[in-house]
Amino acid sequence: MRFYPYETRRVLPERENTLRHSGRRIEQLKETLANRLGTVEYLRCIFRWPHLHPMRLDPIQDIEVVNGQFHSIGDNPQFILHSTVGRPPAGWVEISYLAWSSKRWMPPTLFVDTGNGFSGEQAIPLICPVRVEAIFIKRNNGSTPTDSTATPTADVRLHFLVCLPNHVRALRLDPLSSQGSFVLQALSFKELGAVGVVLAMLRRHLKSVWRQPWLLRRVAHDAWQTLRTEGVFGLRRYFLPQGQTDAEAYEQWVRIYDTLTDGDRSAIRQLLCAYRISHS
Amino acid sequence: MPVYDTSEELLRKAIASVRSQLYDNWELCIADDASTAQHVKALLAEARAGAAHIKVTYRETKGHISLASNSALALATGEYVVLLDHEDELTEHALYLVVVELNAHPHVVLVYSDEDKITEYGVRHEPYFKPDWNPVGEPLGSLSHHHRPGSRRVPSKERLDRWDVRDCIRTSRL
Repeated sequence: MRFYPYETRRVLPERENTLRHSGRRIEQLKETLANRLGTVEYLRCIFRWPHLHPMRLDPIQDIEVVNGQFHSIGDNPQFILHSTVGRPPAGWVEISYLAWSSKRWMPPTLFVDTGNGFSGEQAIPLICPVRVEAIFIKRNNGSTPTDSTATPTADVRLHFLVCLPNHVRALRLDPLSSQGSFVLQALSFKELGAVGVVLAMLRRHLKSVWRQPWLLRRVAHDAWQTLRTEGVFGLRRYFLPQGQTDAEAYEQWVRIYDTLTDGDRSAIRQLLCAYRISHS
Repeated sequence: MPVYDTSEELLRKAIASVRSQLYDNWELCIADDASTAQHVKALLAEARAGAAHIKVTYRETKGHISLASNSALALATGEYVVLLDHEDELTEHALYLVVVELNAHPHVVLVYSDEDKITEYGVRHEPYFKPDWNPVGEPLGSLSHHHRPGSRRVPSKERLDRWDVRDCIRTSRL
């Protein structure tokens, strides 16, 4: 095809406009498609059929495994979690694991990577379980697992309700923030649809109302006040407290200001000795 | 410490929290308020065995928290008392901090402290950070500042029976 100069001057701007228009149209289509896919993904997460993800724990830092027992050998032990299903869980999930109730350790924190790596912004402390199941295990010698001197054995199953982002690349679990042995077994994430979340919510609140019917009035009043002042998101926070900002802040406060080290203990003992000497 | 049908685990934890105090010049006075649960008496006997500074009295009739606290108080020989409920736990430096304050301010008759709640899993939450002494703005009677684990001076044996059953009922409803 051959253009004469005067035709070139006329056609080129037209083609340029056409291309620019097409480019804009493609961008709009991409945006619309992303929105629709986001909506579909969102709806899929809400109305998801319950799906269990048994999780494999992969120690990556400060953790030793001796005879099947986990030992933290540093201040920042970490596990990477791998779903045996083949993809990370997403959306509302019920996390459950076996633990040893008599062993006091800081609540584990779940870190979520949505593509930008693990960070404190995507950290979920597992503090308030929605359900605690006691499991009774008798040892060979007949002792109960609560003996502090005995080998740690799981005696409770803890359940947490957590809302994960819809796109999860990887999950990390930091079980505690100090040295010591701990029990963490049979970790699983169960993806819940809307029905599952509602059932979990009802199970959590109706149980206490059933035992103490007068609580119903208070729950209804508090829920109404929360809805009025904070809207639907406040209501969600009220029924499914998972922001846990206050709890997280207090846990941090306890860790910094109200947890004694061996050095603190020996200093206190020295001070007490000084008191005795000055009084005698 | 008044005790009534406490679960074995919680009672063990309460007693263990006193035993593990860094300050060791204490006596634990326990009043069993006619518990019907069999494990309570066995556990209290176990706690008392070989520990001269753990004293236990068994009430024949149920007197609720006030009378049970008075029964426990009757066993006390120290200058200061700390109220501890049968489901409470002390941090290991709780008595030490009280002793520090009493040594710094020997004239005080009441020491109160912050408190929080603890889950069965040992997680501390819902802290109650109490304000400084402010009898005008927030009279101590209007808030539960000094119920536990507040320490108070015991001036004389004659004034030991000051807890009233009505106080107990009011407190329980809070």
